[in-house]
Amino acid sequence: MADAPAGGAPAAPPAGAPSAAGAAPPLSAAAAASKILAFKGKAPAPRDGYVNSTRVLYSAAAGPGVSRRRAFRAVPSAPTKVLDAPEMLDDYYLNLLDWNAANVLAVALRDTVYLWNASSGTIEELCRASSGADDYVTSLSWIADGNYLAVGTNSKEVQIWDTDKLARLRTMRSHAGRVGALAWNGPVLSSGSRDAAIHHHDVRVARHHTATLAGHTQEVCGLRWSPNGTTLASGGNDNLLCVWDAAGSAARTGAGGVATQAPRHVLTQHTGAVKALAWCPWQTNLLATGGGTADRHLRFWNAASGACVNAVDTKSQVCSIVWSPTERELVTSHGFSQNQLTLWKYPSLTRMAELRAHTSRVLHTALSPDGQTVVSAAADETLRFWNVFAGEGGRGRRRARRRRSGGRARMGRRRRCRGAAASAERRRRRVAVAAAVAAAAAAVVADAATVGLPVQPVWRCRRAQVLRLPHSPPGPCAECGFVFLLFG
Amino acid sequence: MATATTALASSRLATTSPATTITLKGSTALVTEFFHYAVNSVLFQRGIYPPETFTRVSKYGLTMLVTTEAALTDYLSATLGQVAEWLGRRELQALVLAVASVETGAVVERWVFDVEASEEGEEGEAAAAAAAAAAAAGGGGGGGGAIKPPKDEKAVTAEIQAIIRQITASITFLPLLEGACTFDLVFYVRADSATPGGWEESGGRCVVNAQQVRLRSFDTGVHRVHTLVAYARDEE
Repeated sequence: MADAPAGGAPAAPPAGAPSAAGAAPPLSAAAAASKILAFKGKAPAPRDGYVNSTRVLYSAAAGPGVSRRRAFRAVPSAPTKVLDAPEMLDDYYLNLLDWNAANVLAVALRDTVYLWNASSGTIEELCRASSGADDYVTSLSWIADGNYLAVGTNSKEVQIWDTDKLARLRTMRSHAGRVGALAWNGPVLSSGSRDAAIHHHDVRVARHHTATLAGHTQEVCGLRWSPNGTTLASGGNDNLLCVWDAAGSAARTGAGGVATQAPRHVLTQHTGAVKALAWCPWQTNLLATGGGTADRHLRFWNAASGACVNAVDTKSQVCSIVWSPTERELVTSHGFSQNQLTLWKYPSLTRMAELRAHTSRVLHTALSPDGQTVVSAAADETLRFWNVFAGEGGRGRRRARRRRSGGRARMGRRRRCRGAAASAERRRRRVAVAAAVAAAAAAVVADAATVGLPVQPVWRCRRAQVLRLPHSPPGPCAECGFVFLLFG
Repeated sequence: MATATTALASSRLATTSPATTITLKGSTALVTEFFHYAVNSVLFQRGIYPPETFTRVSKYGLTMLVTTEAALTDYLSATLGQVAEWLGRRELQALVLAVASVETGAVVERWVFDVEASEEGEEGEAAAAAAAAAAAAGGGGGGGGAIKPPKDEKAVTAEIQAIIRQITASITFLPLLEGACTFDLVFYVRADSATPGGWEESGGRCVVNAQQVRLRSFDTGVHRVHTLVAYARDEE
């Protein structure tokens, strides 16, 4: 109905000749000389406190931050599984969750590390931090492939554990504060500590401490190696984001064979602690970071140049970031006030979905090895599993694709990483295993009933009623169908 | 541009012009009425005044909303009364509705109603308009060769209706007005016209960094009114 805005229309029409541009017929000769008059009595101002109703209308219709107009695909809004995680520490500066390539999820609950095998659902207790009464685990990190888990503790130690044998391989002491962040790069383990230093440990050699990265002035709480292993990003409580070279061209060997290294870039745009760090898996040098409560911004960096390429105010503390390996999307987890996970489209930074279920801040997230499920650990002592990236073969995706193909053609080809089919196959196998486990549990209950044994009472999960059971209940929740598993 | 031609044409057409031709007086009334409804529509659609202070009036085959606030009605009748006088003397060149932020005073939106009066003739205003149209349109003129058939009120009403519809639809592309806003009417008149009592010289109230959209026009045969809205470009 209305004409489109004139593309490169010049600025306001020059005073004296109102709107002489475009298709306007030329004014008559006399019009060249004109004067501008206004009535001395002015129009009354709207009454005090009046808020433009169109503003109210449009801001309300937009919904709670999610762009309804551009629903890209169906995203499940409820977690597929909830695990109880008692005594999960509510500390922003720790990193207590990691998922490895063998589909084992490691969680630290105060002083104990548990391994939850996502394929079989079994739980193992790996270790206890036991150097003192107030000792607790501060960080976890799986080696890229293999069964070694690095564990940082409040007693300033970095331990390497073999999770097959459930045995400690070595203990490395070099820090002067608790070790809040760990990151592997091949055989090199980097650890960030409350003493503001980042140490590189070569775990193959006896003198493990190979380099010290000095750039922060306060506790290091975020540490990530880039996927190609050339760059390390670190964030600290001093609001700094540092980017380091792996080669350490600026390194100089100091006392005791320990090299000291200066950062490639020190980025100061964040105004809160930088804990959330994630390297983009499909674009080299693209780094996403999130700031703490005082900052609340999600920022995207070109790690090569140090330029901030994108930023958005999330209105909430950013605790962690996970990129989708296949889609142009990422998930961030937040604290007060919504305690939500947000799914973003990149680079448009449109909010695709808000996942609200946690009742306290969502401190840690990890991605499953098949790249489909995000697990979140929150201070409400639960782990929740979200199938946010499980588009492949899903009903919603198929429907969305049909809708798309019926409409306009896509611009360019959909970029997708290889291995999507393989991950779908893995997922199918996992679903089959889960179904078999559930069937077996049901059979046990049925047998007990026929032979007259007391059947375990119907139980309800935390959502219905808060109760702590000594053992995992035999089947899904009677009310909402959650499979309930207990740690510890 | 059209002096001799116009005189010729008007003398030829004076006897043949139908009874439905809009005279200067009639045109003035039509345009003034249009301004009244257009300004009210903008004030309502853009939410400059609370919607509950508007009342529904059926006009141009549409439901129009007109303010009931006394101070605003007084202001509009005072200014539009003067507008009628200027239109009757063919002195008005443009009416500008400037929407300004109460806080900063910066103009955020500017509605321009450009008025183009036909050449002054003794009796045949319609003919003058026709000649002007013929000159402007070149080969585009319809039946009757170079001379456009004179317009009746019904056709003009249809054109006005289209403009009002466009004003209503404009909220879909205009940016939301941040904070409380007020408006001001400024008028471009011929330099040789006398400044009436109660009026003062004013600035053009232009929008800085503007994007502009041209809406439809209407033509009574005496007055042509072109509508245009300029708004502050979004800073991304």
